Amino acid sequence: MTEFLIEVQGLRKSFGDLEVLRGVDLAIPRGELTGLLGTNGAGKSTLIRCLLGMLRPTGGTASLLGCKSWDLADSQKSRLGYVAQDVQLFPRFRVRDMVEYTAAFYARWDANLVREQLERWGLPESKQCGVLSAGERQKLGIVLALGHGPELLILDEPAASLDPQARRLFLESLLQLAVDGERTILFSTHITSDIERAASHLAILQGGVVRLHSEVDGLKDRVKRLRIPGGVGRVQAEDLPGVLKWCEQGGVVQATIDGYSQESAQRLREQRGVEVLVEDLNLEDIFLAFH
Amino acid sequence: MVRIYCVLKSLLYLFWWVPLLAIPLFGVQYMLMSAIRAPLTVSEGTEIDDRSEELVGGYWSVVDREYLHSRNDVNEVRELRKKLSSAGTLVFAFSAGLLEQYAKELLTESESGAGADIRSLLGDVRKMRFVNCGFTVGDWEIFSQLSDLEVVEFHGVKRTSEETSEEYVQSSAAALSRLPRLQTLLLTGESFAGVGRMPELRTLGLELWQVESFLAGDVAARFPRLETILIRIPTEGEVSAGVYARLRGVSQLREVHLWSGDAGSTGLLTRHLDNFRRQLPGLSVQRRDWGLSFEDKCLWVLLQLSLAAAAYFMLCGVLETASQGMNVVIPGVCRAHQQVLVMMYLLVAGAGVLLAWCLGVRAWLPVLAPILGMSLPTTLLDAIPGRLLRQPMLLSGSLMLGFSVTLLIPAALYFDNLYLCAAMNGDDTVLNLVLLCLTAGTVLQSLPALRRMPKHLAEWGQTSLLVVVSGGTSGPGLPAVNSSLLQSDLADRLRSGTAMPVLKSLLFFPVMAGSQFLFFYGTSDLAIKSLKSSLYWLGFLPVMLIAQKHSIWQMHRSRLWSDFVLPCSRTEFWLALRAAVFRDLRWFYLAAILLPVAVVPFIHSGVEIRSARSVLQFVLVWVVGSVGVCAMHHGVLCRIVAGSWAGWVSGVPGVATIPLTICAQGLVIVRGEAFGPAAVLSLFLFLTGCLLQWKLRGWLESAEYPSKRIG
Repeated sequence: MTEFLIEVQGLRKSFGDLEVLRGVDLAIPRGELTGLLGTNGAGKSTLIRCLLGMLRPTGGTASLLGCKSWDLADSQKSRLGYVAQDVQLFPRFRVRDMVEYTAAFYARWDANLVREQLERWGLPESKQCGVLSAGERQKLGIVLALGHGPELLILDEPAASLDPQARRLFLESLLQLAVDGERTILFSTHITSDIERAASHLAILQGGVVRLHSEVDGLKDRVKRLRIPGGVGRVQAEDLPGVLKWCEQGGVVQATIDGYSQESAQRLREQRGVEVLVEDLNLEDIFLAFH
Repeated sequence: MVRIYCVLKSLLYLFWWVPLLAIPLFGVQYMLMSAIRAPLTVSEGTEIDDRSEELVGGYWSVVDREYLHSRNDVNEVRELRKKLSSAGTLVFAFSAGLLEQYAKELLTESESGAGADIRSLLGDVRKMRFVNCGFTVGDWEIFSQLSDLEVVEFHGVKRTSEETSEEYVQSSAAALSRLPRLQTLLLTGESFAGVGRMPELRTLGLELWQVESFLAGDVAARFPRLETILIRIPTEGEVSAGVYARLRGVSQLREVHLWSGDAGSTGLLTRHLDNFRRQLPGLSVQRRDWGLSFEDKCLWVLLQLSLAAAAYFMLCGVLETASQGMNVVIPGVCRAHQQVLVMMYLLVAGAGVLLAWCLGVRAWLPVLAPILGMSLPTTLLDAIPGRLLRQPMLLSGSLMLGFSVTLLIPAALYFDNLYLCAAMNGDDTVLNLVLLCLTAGTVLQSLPALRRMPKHLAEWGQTSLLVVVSGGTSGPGLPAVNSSLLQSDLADRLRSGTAMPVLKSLLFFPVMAGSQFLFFYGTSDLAIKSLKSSLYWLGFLPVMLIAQKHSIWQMHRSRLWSDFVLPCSRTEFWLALRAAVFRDLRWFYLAAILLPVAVVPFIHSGVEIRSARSVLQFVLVWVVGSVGVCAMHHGVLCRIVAGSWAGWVSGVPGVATIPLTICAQGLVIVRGEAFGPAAVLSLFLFLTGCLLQWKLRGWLESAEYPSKRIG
């Protein structure tokens, strides 16, 4: 039986009249590295904060590690790692003090791993947190979240402040963490290339609901753009499965579909007598197609 | 880098042997203080400090004395007499014809069948002292009846205008001659020309000009036991050959003490000392010194040594802290983190007891010393937020305190401060009250703080919080965590971010205090035209610090929610946050409530209360209102930090404080106006505060975090 570390059912969250989440359904099993993709203001941070028990859902349920998010106990939280979008540190603390401060909360703390990570990220232990750049703060936040070896790691736009080199390093770290298949990771982002590089699964949050939750590789196989020259008037949207985007230009039909198969393309050729050119899409195209 | 490390390490080794230097250094300090001890400065014989011409030894004997003024009637004298011990001194100050007045009052009582004579009133007093008093012939008559007197001092005593000089001199001489038990007599004043036989007189104090007339004739027959003469020499006084001759004529004389009564005439006095020693080779001629006795000096040495040792251990603690950062193990018998602290506290407490006994302090105060000695550091350790600040602040603070105390006590002795003497002896009611409150408060505070001590100590060794609070060992499994301890420790953690601003605020404290003083001095002066009311500014310092802490917590709240995901349950987190805010502010709250109350007696003294109500009622109104405001403030601040209320709500307790502040300024307390509305307001604030506190836990536990205001 599949063990889901994150389970969200019909989750709704409103701030006054503004309904940010409108019934989110999401289930992430153990060992999955999921990228949560959404535009700015899509509700990614709100969803994560509901998951962490910071915000009380207006409706529906959110569970983490088998426990209701609102009632997370210390035992669940000690298995949880979190990196906020804006990592908050004590400005007067040095990096090593911040590490010690965090370490003191956990019975199991891998000091060697933390030291290695600090070195790897180029974070001097003697540097004051107050003078760290946004990227360095983010790096330190990530290191701190890893120190106790969390089973579930939730990161809210962790790479937003990182430079390309650091981002690549970060993504490599994520892959290393996920390699044993025991650690579950959810990270939100609006940078599709990050997900493409690191995530095994993708969830797209749009309009307050999860429009898509799928394996990244399978998604790329499933979502394709079909170019049909001379297709205008001869091919209708109903002829294609899961049309996400439909465009007619200069007699050419361009359709982005979710649910592509060679058989369906062949069937279209045969039934409508048109030429069908199949184009692969990157995640950015796919993400845009869903909007 | 390696070189720096080696240098530091060498320094640490060197400092480990600091006791070899520290104790002699403190010894030198003691000797220096003894050496520079000058004769006591003469003041103008004020009512408060009139020991300038003290003849009787015993530095702290002044405490056991009661003062009589012309406004005291015989009933009050009886009351004062009850307070005085059998060895105590009765002081007549700035009065004229007082004994005669008492005799008349006693006579009136006697006629009504209830009275008695002067002996029944003052007959058993053994020590009397007259300061700037006027005497009549009648006074001398009555004085002569006090035949039990053993010590009498006359400072600036003069005759009243009714009598002739001759009558006065004769009556004074006759009166003094009728005191058979008199052992010590000091005479300074305008008309003491001679006295008759005094069989028990051992010590005689005179002005220079009196010496020849007093010691004329057969001195051995008049004063068979006279061994010591104290002579006051005027600043520009010259000693005639006759004086030396008279002194040489007193065969039983052993010691001559000289004093000038003028601190600026040390050089002159030295010259006189040389002359006296030359002229009176068989006598011990000394400068009059009110120094400590041999026993006192022994105690002082012990005290200095114990303080030196305490300072040494504190120093070791500081160095050990640094050494741990460098992974240096200092050789020696003590490990700073455990034994040194305990030893340090024991030594400080022991030194406190020694000090108290050394100063002749009564029984109950020395008992406080060890209690405070043990509980205060524990409380302090717990009160300072954050490991990074706690450790250096506590240790360096203790170090500074140790040094300050060591310097302060000799300085206090050197300046011969009577107030300190009285205060240390428990004679100051306000101070007693403050000390008792402080002790009770710290003991109550230290009980829960003691439970957290292992955590604080282990913190310095970087042990996991969970392991420490559960008493377990760091292993693969999670230990079972004691929930209340975790909350408490979490509260401590949550305060970590406020540590540095606290330090900053402490550094700016003198500046803030000064400006606040000036402000409130002005407003209070305007309010009731009383300078004493400006003492109330003390009450505003904690209020100001509360406001500053408030802003620190508001700034800190965006940081706090990052800790929300740390391993603790929702309930634990909120309870810890509530405790953290309270723990950070509790001393300021306590000070805000108690300081104004403590200064009420100062304001009250000399100001007529126009209301029929007692001070106690006003104090009660103030305390109830202040407790309400503090409870309100704490509740409001918790909700602001939790993000559920906007920052501007914090102004509510502030606005509510304003009317209470006006009360504190004295309008109500002194004038008694608007007592009713003030009482209602206080009650309202109290109830609001209680209500807020009652609802707080529920509000916090249902709070979203961070709220949209932050997020």
